[in-house]
Amino acid sequence: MVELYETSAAGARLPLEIGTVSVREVQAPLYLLAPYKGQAAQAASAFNTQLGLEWPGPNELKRKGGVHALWFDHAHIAVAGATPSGRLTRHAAVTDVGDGWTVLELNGADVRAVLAHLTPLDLRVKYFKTGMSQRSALMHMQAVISCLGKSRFRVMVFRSMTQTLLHDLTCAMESVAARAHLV
Amino acid sequence: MRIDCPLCGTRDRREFYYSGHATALARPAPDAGAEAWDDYLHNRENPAGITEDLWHHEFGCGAWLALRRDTVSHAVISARLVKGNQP
Repeated sequence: MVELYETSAAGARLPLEIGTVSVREVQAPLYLLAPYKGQAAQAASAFNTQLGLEWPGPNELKRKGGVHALWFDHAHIAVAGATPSGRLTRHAAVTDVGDGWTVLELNGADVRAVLAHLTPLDLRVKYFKTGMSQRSALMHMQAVISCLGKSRFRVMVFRSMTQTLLHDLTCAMESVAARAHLV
Repeated sequence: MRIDCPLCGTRDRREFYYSGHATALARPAPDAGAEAWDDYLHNRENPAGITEDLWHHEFGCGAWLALRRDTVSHAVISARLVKGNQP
């Protein structure tokens, strides 16, 4: 097969730092897994054997080393940072979507306040805990929002919407940073 | 308005797409006759009270939900996944 060059979705626009929040792009393999009919248990077992991770349930994010397994929608989970083995493909449809999504990591004290400008999710620490991954709207985009720590998140949107995401994020970050100077 | 998605939890109405009454789940048999098909395709109740309609969680898990709600009070009573729960 032709070897394609991997290119950054955000390019020179990242990394970015405004106020207390910084944004960087994460470039890693990304796969969607959908168990075949009646094969959910076998798929979960093969998945566990290969990656040492449990199959994530609704709103869950499982992590080990640099590998993330997250609940993606009613029929899929996603795996980032690893390539699922051939054995897994016997029990689940495995799709390489690494060229279809942009993944950004957001870090910093005000990260929840920034995201609160963009999504209807409840971002309070008590409700959006570390180890959760939720599907929701990010402005007009269908996003995956994962919590890696109290002030550390990952955001995924369709790659074609990267510039929109950066625009919306920048506006929200500037807005939160500006308010900090008013007090 | 908040909707309890059985998978995602309680979510804002903005995440959902409304798709009419849950009649679509009760498709008549092909030989059910013209009257049953006319009802299925064209006739809808417009109740002041409890109704059940279909919502797509398009900004969430992507599942179709059948939602019971009260058109008078706007209260959302319950939501169930359509997948695996069809009559």
